[in-house]
Amino acid sequence: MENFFNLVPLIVVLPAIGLLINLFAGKYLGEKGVSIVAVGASASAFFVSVLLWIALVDTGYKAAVVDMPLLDGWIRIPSAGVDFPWQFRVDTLSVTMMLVVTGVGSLIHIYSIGYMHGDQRFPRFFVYLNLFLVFMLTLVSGNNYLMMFVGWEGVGLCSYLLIGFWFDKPKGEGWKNSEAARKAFIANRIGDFGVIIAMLLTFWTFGTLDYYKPHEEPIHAVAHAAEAEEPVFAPEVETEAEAEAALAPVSPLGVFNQAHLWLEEGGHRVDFGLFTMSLKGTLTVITLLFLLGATGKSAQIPLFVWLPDAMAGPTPVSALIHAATMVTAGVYMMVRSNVLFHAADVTSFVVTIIGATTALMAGFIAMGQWDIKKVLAYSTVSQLGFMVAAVGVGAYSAAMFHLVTHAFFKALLFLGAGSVIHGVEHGHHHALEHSHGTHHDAEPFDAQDMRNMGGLSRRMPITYWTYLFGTLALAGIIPFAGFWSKDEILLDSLKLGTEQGRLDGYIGFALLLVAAAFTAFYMSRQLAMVFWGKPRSEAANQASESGLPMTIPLMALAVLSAIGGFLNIPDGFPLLGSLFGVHELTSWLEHSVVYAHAGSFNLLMATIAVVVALGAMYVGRLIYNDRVLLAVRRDPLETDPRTSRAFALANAKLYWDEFYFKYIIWPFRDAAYWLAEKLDWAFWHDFVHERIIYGSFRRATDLLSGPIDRGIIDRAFNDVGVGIRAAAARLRTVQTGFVRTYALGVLFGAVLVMFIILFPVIRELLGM
Amino acid sequence: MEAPEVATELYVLLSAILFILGTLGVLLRRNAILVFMSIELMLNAANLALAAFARQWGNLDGQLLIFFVMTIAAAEVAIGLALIVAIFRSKKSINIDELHLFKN
Amino acid sequence: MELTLFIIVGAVAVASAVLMLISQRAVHSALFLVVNFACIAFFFLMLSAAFLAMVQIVVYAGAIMVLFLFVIMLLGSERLYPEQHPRFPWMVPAAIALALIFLLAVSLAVIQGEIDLSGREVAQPYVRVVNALDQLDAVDMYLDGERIADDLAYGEASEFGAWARGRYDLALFGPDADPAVDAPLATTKVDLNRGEALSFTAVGTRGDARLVVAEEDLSETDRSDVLRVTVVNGIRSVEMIDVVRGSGSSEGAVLIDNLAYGAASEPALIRGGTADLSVFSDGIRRDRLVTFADRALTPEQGQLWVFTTRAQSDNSFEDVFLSLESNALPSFGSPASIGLALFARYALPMEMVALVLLVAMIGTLILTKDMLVVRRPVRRRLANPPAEPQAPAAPETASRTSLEG
Repeated sequence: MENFFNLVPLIVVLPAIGLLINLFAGKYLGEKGVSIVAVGASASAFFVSVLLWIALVDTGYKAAVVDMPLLDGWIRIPSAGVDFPWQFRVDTLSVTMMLVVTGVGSLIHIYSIGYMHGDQRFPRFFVYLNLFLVFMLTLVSGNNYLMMFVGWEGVGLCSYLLIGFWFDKPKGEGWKNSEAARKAFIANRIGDFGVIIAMLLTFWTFGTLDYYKPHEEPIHAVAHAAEAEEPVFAPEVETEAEAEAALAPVSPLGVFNQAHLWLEEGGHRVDFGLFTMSLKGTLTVITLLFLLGATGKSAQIPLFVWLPDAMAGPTPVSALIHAATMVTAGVYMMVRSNVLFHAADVTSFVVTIIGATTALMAGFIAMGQWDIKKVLAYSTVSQLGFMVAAVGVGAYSAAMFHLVTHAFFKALLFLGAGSVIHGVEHGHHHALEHSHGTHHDAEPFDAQDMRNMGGLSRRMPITYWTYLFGTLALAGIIPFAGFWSKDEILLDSLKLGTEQGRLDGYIGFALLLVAAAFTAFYMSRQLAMVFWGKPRSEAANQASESGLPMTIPLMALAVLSAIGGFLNIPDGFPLLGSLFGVHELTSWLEHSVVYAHAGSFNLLMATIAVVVALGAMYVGRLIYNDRVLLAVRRDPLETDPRTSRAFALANAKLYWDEFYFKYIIWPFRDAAYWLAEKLDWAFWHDFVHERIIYGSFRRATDLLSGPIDRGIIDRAFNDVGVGIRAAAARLRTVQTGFVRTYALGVLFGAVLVMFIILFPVIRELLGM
Repeated sequence: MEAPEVATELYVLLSAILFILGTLGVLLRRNAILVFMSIELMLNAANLALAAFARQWGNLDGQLLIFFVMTIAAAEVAIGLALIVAIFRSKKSINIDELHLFKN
Repeated sequence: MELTLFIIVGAVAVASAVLMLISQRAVHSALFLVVNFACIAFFFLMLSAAFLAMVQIVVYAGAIMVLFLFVIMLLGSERLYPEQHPRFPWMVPAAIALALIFLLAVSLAVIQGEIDLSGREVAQPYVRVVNALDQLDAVDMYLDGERIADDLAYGEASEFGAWARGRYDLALFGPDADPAVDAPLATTKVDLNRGEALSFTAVGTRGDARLVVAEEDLSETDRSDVLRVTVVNGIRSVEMIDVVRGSGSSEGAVLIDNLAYGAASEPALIRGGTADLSVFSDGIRRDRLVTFADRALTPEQGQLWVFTTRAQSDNSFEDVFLSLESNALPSFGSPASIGLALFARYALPMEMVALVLLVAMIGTLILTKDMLVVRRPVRRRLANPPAEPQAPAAPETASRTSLEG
């Protein structure tokens, strides 16, 4: 089964083939053909991922490194010692990501068939989706940071393309969409800048960007290695060639092992030419810069602002890219770099704070949103904050766990929301058709506004039930998936505080607990506003259930959301542990994530979390009861004077955009304007170029052409001409035409010649 | 070869006098025929000088040159007189002051 | 005597020229010009250019003047009416002033000796080659590397040719020899002086060649019964020879006395007629070598006598007497000398002059044809007329209009 590893290039190649077919032949294939190709590409990639998983299990979780055929040496400068191969790394971490990406991706592909039905750019959408898969899989499967960065940039591009997919919607909608796309792209660029610098520093420090060289095994911490299953990790008998390679002088080790060894040795300093820096300090800088990238890609403070706007894209896109996969790339990167992050205490602190704060802040904002997708978007930001905080507290396996479960239930929720929007839009059209002009086009109808919904549980039962599963999972109600992962994060952060006395552990725990309560609250609010009670609009009243292509993925994801948590049952949990195995995911990940450690189970902790979540949901249901919603058709929190200010704050998204506009974007634009208008135009162009260079040149040429050329040179020639002409006019009179005057001239000449001949004689005669 | 009794200088002087008289004739007379005659006089004066020098140097080349001058002079007179006849026919005058076709 | 004549005739010439100049009637002018031409012809005679004098009379005073008179009479323009407004009133003083300056300059040049009259140059040296060299059928002769005789047969003489004065290397070569490569048979140095006429006579044998330079006198003899001879001795067997008229041993006039081998005698005048010539050796006239009987001695002639021997096929020597005619050169300025020069050195210029005469003839014919003459004179316009059309009339225009008016 080791041969399966060689299939890994296919996970990139298959979606690439799919997209190429759809790109060039999509026009002629029709919706069905395009769907088959795209879903086939995605599903076959998923199949390959499964094969890889099987192979990995079969070979004892030993990581495999596979070269991309033909392209393995894509950047190679031997003289400079630069060699970035396109290598695939098949280890537990990357396979986890592959399974999530291709699995959820395949479901969303199927869903999209129904959702995008009838769109005029149907093939293009699937081309983009497949392209996204290509880049996302490149991101997770690469064996070095550069490959990861290729995927990183590529998914950013796909994100941009898909957010702005409906760039030509009428009435300014398309404009808003394209603005959202640009916003996403620019915010990501800022993060990418951090990643690039971090990569350069990494290369400078370690001389390579490879995670691990092909022959390496991750070196585990001593204490950790002792309790690990030694025989499983033990490298197989080294061949001589591998032993030689291990001794090779030029960067024999990948980044992580090298960092590990140097840290164990201690005292290693990195030479930056002008100054040197301790390895720890360098790693802190590197990880902080990676964190900047992660805040961009994974929508953390301060760069999260693009993600809510990104909901302008089609809902499947929101589900796939902006909930399940792409936005987790930052988390994946940090988990992948866990060796570095583990070494950098300062960074860990910052990461925890940023993650927890983001989780809390986004949860707060989500409570004040009316747009069904915006709520989910902020929820995503919030959950990403959970993951990032988990990375900060060192709970790498918990972060990955939450990443996986979140992928399930957030994809489910987004798809469910998409189904709702679909249904409401259908209802709206239906209502329009039947009302015969009572509703005019002039009256805008927002199919995403939760205030226009209500009572959809009866109209769309499948959507409702799946959505309910997703909500429970997200809110962290036992035994749904979210409970396990969230509980592990909370517990790990608390343990960091109690066991290591770290402040960030306490802070993180406190903030995340509140954020979990917020999560449960806004999800119950959403359920209440969307599904419960009575319809608050004709569209909601006439909404219809979506078709099978949409509901099948919903159901699949609902199942996953329900049972996904059993992947990683904590130690000490009764019954289930013996049923599904304990710490399956953690021990799986341990083979590639050096600092992954299993979380324990604390009944008190779990009880608190569940009680808080249930309580928050109950409160939410109390506030958003049917009577109030129908009566005021406004948000109860908004009308209540006690909470109206907080609600307004949440509704206005805490004025982040305004803040950015006022203190960053406008000053930046002012500075740019000043630079363009004053420095470039007024000073550089008008003064330097126009006045000094052009002006002085002009003056010089004026001088040359005026007084000198026309005054002296031209004048001289003209005067010569005039003079010759005047002389000729006078001389012409000599030419009388009378032969006698000519004869006299000849005689005069003869006498003159004679005199010239006789000149010596005359001079002698005169005594000169 | 007996020594010449008359010095060559005298011949040269005489030649010069005759030449300048011919020149004056060319310059001052307006009758085209007389102008021609004056030219003949000038040629003869030159011939005289040539003959004197030929004797002086005992070289026959000078005399041969005289021979050629005479021949050319004959040709010139023939052409010149023909011209005068032609001009007289068209202009009814041989006053060279009325001949200025070179300038209108 | 000559000077007196010169002054008288010169005065006539000047006077006739002046009269020609000032006479109002063209016919008178022509007649005065005839007088002037006659004077010139007289001067030509005085300058020993007799032929030119004749030509002057015939061509100038005769043909050309007749032509002039004919045209004057034909056109009826013997007299011009005086003009009220002479066109160039300043011409007279200007011309006279220039004329005076001219005369002054010429006088100055003559007085100051600027005209080189120092030389009394006579004819150039003339040279010829005589081949009396035994054992060679033909010889080449080079004068300073320049060939003056080419394949000259035995007993023959080349024509006299004028040569520049100076000192030369004379070299004798066999036929078909390359002077740059082969060694000469004999060399000697010669001086060519003005008026000389030299005969380079090659005598001796091929192995022992000798060059004899004989100076001859080419002038004409005064008397008609004598001839001038120059003798070259080429008999190697004896030291000296005497040449005696007659066949006897003692009687008869001795023509040449004691002439050494390889030497040439001075030119001598002898009587013409038919005579025997005897050659004696040793100067004592006892040993007669050979007698050449009944030789014709043509008077009024120059002759070069070469006495030599020639090897026979039976290895005996035959005495040879070569008598080569050396014609007198024509006298200076004579028709013969001019004709000779014309047809020899000046052949090409004469041809060209003849061509000019032919062209003049045709030109005259064309010019006097009516067709050409009636053509109206074309008023030409300048391509670029002067840019002052409105300017006041120029002075010359004014004078012209006044003239035409």
